[in-house]
Amino acid sequence: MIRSITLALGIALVAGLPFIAGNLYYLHIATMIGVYWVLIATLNLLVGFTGTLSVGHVGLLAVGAYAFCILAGTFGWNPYLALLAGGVICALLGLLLGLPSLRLPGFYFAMLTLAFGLIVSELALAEQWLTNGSVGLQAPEFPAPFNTPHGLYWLVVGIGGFITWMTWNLARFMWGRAMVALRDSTVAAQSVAVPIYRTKLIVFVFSGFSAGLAGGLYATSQSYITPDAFVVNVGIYFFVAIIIGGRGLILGPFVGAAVLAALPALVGPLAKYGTFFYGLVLLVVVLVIPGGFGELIGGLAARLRQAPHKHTSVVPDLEKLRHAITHAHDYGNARAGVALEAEKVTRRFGGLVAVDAVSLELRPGEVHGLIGPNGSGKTTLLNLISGYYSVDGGAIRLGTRELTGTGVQPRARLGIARTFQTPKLVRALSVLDNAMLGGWPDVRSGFMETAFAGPRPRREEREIRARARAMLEGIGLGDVLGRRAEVLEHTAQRFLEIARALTMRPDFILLDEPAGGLTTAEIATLGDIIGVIRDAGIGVLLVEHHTDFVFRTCDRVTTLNLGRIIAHGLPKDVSRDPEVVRVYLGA
Amino acid sequence: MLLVIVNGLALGGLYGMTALVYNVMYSTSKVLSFGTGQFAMVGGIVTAFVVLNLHLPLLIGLAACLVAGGLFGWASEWIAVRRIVAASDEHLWVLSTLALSTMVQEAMGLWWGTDPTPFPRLIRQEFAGAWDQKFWFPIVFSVVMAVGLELFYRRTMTGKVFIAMSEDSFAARARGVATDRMRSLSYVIAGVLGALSGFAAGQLTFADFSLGIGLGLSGFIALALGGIGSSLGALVGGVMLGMMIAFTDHYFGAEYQKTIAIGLLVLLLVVRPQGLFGTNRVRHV
Repeated sequence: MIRSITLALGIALVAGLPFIAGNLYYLHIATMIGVYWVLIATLNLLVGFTGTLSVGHVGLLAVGAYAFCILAGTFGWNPYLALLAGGVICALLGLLLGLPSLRLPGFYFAMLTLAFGLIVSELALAEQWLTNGSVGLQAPEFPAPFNTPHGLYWLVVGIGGFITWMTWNLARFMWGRAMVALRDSTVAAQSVAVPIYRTKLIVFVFSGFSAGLAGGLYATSQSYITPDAFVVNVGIYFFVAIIIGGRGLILGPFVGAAVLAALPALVGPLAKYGTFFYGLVLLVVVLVIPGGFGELIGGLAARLRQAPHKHTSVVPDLEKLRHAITHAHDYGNARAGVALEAEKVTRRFGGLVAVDAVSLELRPGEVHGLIGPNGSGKTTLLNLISGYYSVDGGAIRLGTRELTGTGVQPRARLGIARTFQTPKLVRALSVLDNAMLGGWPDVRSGFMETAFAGPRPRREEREIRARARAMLEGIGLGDVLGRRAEVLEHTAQRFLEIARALTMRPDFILLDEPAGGLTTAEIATLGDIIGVIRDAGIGVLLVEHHTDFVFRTCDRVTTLNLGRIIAHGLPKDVSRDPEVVRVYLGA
Repeated sequence: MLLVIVNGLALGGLYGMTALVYNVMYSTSKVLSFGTGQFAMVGGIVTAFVVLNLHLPLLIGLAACLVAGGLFGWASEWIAVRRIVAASDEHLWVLSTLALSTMVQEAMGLWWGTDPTPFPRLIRQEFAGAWDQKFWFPIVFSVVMAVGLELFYRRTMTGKVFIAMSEDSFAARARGVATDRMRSLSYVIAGVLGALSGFAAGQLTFADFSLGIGLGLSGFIALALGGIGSSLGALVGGVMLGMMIAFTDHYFGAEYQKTIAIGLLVLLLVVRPQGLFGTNRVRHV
């Protein structure tokens, strides 16, 4: 209720600004803020959500501006068509820049985009036949009613509002969670099948499109453009706006954008120091409040809202969990019923053979224990099966399906879920959001479909939310759904990881030392949960050091030493095996 | 033609030196600083100021240039890197070094002015042409710097500690290396070397406040071409880029310099991301 009133007031204020502003100069500043916002709103998705730093967006702004002036001015195209064409050209440039560089560490991308920004102004100067060199180009106007300062303002506000709506949709549905996940924990994002490279590329292309639109609007609202308007320093301004507003928020950067644009424009003498000042603000914010003011205020508000933190034990509701797992499986296709197999897999690290021709078969509906001394290759084997490492020899198969050459994401899509030795959660997201990430393999909605909030993303959102909530309630985290994952206690983090894995509706779940750091009572609870998972027909691979727990819980046990299998069979046999006793259990 | 080649080698020397400076900082911190090119800018302007404006001898100019570079290096580690490295978030150090680099550039622009000014001649030399000192200084200095750094890495304890930290900073710390102090030292060295490269190439670049960003980019391309961590690679990468730019300049005109440089970078990213002399350790995300 309060939210809709605020929204209505905000819209009224923005729409009515021309009547309040009185002065045409102020109105021009407001229009410019709107123009910048068209670019910043989507750059924020790239920088604030996926954590990818594009330093050269000003280059895209310039291309958009020149495309508009050349197409609508020199060639006499319809201005709307020229505006759109500018967006499309910039989207294609984004694709061209992103394709080779987004796979590499972020600095390569930052440098390449910086370079792009520099080239654009260089070429704008050089290619006089097209750009008129340093003299610049006259920008055409839009047809009535958008050819007056007021009209142009409303046009910019309309486009800006629409773009904001799209980014808001992207942020609140599954795509938003995926973006934040790949920023905060690449490993976790991979484990739920989020395609890292493709997601970054799509977001960058989208932000390129809107930067192109912003360029056209920039040109027409300045009515004249020259190459020196697009210096790289303008790019610093975009960053500052986003980083002040806070990453991971949709409207936060707007405040930054407005304040920063208005200050030098209103206080004339400041303009000279503008860039220095932006640099200073950026440095201070990065050092003192890396999450930005938005995250700071959000964090404080969350702290006020929540009851003081007290220790609570996680009490699962096993009946509910059983129901949640079975129900989740009804949602999609039935279980394949085949085994997950590692056949004579080998992995070397330099001269060390960490896993040496190990074969292991994980059947549906059984708990398979994997034990052995430290450094015996347990976690390496798990990484080979889940696809984080590639094998140097041997094969990984799901039934008859060859998995050996595939990466993490395709295996996650085929129903192989896992947890980690140290829980890999997306710390900035809530408990519910973290569990919902497990629903990513079921998301069929594309990026644009989500941006327009079509029926499919809405339906998927509802279904995945219900499934994740049921899992969390079953596993005993039902009363901390809204809490940020980073403030959870250790045990709760471990259980949350299991809930996320279960939300993937897996056929197999690989648990890497899930009992680490748990109390005896909590380990017993974990045993109950694993029992429920097994009874639902899921195959569980359990890497553990608590041997009592392993022998009690597992149907079969494999023991590794120095990368080789030394014993394998029923718990009662393995626990008495002399070799296992000698190297691992002790007499 | 000789002039074009010599010009290419000189530019290559400057880019190579910048790449070496990247390497020094990267070894101890795994940070590729956006401010790397700014060291040369500061070195060049400080020298020009001391020699041309204060009319002091060249050696004092050189000393001031090195001190300024060292101080700037030390400050960048202390301000923009130390706190961030602990958080190990790439996102943040790109931003913090970018912010500091912008501030220094703008501050120099406000103080020194935005027009490039000539740099003093380093030695008396009557004739110009291919044997002009403005070409030979950066070429000789870059080779000396690369050889000196290699000797430093291989022969001195401190250099070996740098190598150890580049392999595994955590393990180095566990063996009693004061990693914070070493990182700080490496940034001071980087600052001094960067300022020296600005001194050596000053007659090519002029004393120009806006030199840093473009130079940082060219130095990075040289680094990426040669492979991060390799001194030989830095020089070879630098010379390749320098030659490319000199020939483009000669045949097509100066306005396409950057376009060619970037084209080279993109091509490299596609074909061989780890660089010519780099090991395949680029972390794919």
